[in-house]
Amino acid sequence: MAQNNKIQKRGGEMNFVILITVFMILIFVPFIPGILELLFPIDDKAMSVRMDYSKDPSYFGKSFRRIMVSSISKGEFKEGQNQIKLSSVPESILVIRGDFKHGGENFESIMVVLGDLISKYNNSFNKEIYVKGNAFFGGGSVIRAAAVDKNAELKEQTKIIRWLDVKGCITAGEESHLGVSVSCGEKFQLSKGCRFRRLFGNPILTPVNARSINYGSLKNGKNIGEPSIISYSDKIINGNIKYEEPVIINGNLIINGNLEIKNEFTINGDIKANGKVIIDTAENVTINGNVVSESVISMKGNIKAVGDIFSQDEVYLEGINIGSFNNFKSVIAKKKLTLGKSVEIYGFVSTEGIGIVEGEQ
Amino acid sequence: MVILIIIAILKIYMLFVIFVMMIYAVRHNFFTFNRLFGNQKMYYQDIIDSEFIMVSIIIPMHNEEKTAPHILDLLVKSDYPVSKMEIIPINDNSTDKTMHIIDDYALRYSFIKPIHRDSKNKGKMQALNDGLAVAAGEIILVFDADYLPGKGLVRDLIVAFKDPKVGGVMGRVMIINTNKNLLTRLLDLERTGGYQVDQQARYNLGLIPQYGGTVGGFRKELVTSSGGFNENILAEDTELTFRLFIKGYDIAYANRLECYEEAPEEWRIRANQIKRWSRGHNRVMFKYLFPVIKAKNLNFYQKLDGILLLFVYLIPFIFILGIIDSLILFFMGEMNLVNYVIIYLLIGGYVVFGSFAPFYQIGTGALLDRVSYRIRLLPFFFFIFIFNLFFISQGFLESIVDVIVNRKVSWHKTIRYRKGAAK
Repeated sequence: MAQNNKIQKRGGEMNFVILITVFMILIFVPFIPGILELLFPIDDKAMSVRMDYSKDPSYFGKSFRRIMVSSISKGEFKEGQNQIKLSSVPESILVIRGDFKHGGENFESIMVVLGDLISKYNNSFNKEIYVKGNAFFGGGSVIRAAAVDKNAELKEQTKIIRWLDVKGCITAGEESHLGVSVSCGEKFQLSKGCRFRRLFGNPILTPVNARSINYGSLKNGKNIGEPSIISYSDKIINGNIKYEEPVIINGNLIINGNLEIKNEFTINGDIKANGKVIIDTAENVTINGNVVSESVISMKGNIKAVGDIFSQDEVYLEGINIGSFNNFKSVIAKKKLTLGKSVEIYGFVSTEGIGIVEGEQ
Repeated sequence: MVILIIIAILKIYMLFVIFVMMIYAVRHNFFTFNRLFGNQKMYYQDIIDSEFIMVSIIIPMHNEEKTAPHILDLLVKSDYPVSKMEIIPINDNSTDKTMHIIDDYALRYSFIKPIHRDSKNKGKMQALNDGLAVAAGEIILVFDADYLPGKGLVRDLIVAFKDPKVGGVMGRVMIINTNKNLLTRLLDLERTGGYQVDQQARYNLGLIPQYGGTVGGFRKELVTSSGGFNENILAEDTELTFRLFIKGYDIAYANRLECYEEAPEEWRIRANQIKRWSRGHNRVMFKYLFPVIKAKNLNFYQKLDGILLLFVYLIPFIFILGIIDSLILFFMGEMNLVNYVIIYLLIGGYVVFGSFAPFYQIGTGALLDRVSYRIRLLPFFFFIFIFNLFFISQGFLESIVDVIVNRKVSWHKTIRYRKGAAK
């Protein structure tokens, strides 16, 4: 009996030891991958930070142009097919020392055109192009990426896949798709139905409304007849505000709510609204500052804005002048950016969603 | 009777600890899901504007001969126009070559305007206050000396102030010496969860993203108008965060504005660092808890997040008391009510408070950063968990003494390990 108890006790002790051992092994198991990673590291490098990053809307064009110009100046290219190493694999490059005129063809190599490029309808340029002269892309053309040193004209339904950088002017035809980024150093004329993500121009223009308006004629609200004059010193206003009478505001207007402007309006400061900013008036509106909203910004009328427009939602612009020559400003909309008639923006427009130039209503 | 009351109190406290942990677990899970599936708020960095605001960049330095040339070299290469920028390196009682190094840079670059402090009243807050007194900038950016700002960082940080409601801005901290040892690797993961998920989610949700005292900045007037930085609070960054939010201003968090820092490579240095953070943060908690609750400019969710943020460095102490509580109940034979709860207490605590960023945030952060292999180290956060419990609690107790006796605090700089030049 006593021996049985002893055996049972010993069996119990054994079970306990096994249990503890299994428990310790199970505790240890999750550490095994980590121990292996410490002993034989495969992911121990500092995460990459681009130390030389500097914002430049023409970045792609500049870096591609730099490589091409450098190769040309070193005399590395002959007329016709050549090889160039842009990444790890050498690529073929077609060099044309004069003008280039073609239609209805597909081009599968990088191209350098030292004269003008005149592409007729439905050409596909499936690799990057560098054009030292002017570039004319016929309707329905597809261009992966292009850097142009003079002017560029895109006929209707031209499609940019990645980027286009032009030192001179750009004219974009109706229904053109402007890829990820299109920039130019001078005038950028858009047509109805153009779609875009990022544009830069000096200025960017949309078609002018027939009922043309004369923005920019105001001088800090001096045209306003008997306005109310309000001064704010960064006071935060809780609730919605609607201005239906002429008003001049000195200071920043910060609202936890919606802002609606229906009459002549001048602000010498910034506007920030947690809600919508709606400007819809035939009267003159002058904003001597930035407009920032967590919601929709809709500005329609006869508006002069000297600052940036920034929305976490959608932006609609019509009849507005933003920035001035070589004094660049930005219009940024997270979800959608619609440019109506008579929009003149000196600088940058960008959206993470859809950018579109509005057609006839 | 007395024993029954004590047992009841101990059980209630145990349930309180569980409740607090559940709140934080829900909070961090909510942040994680927001980061994965929610609407991501855009930072202002896409703005291109040819008008620049005057900025003063203050760099407090105490014995920073190893790091000073690197940060100054990088800042002079910044794409921000030098006519609109001044760099104020503050030599705070250095006994090494820091003074000579920054004076040499000042000779070469007119926009570098050093300050030399030889007062016995040394410390980061004191140095910042001296910098604010001479700064010409409308906006102040602050970098710790071990940081390595990229070329476009200053411009992208400053652009947030185009929004008149933005009172402060904060970039993302990345660790450069990740591969040194287990500690630096764990801190790297902790930063990933803390910034990539926690900070960005709070920014997305319009809550309280935190100004971190470096790779960030603020409007000078908002700080100087209320007397500068409180020299008795070791967490001037957290203090400023709450000061700005209570005034109705926001802090913009810029997840894509990354800047390298050097992480502590020794556990004792890390212990001092988190003890200091805890001491300072809890001092801010004592000061700002009621102002946050009463603040007119904060909505309900901001208040809730603000309160939970204020309590973050108190929770480990509450948790340690919870463990002691459970042991007492165990030895009193009173664990029958809570014998399953104890499992949650230990495992849940490990998961929720394993580090400054809970495990699921770290995993999600690594996923978003596309660095998947390093999360194999996650189980090692058990050691960080125990480590943090002890030193954060110690910092909390010290902050209580600070408040009770109103004692003067002193700043202990984190040791640098830098070798070689910055690239």
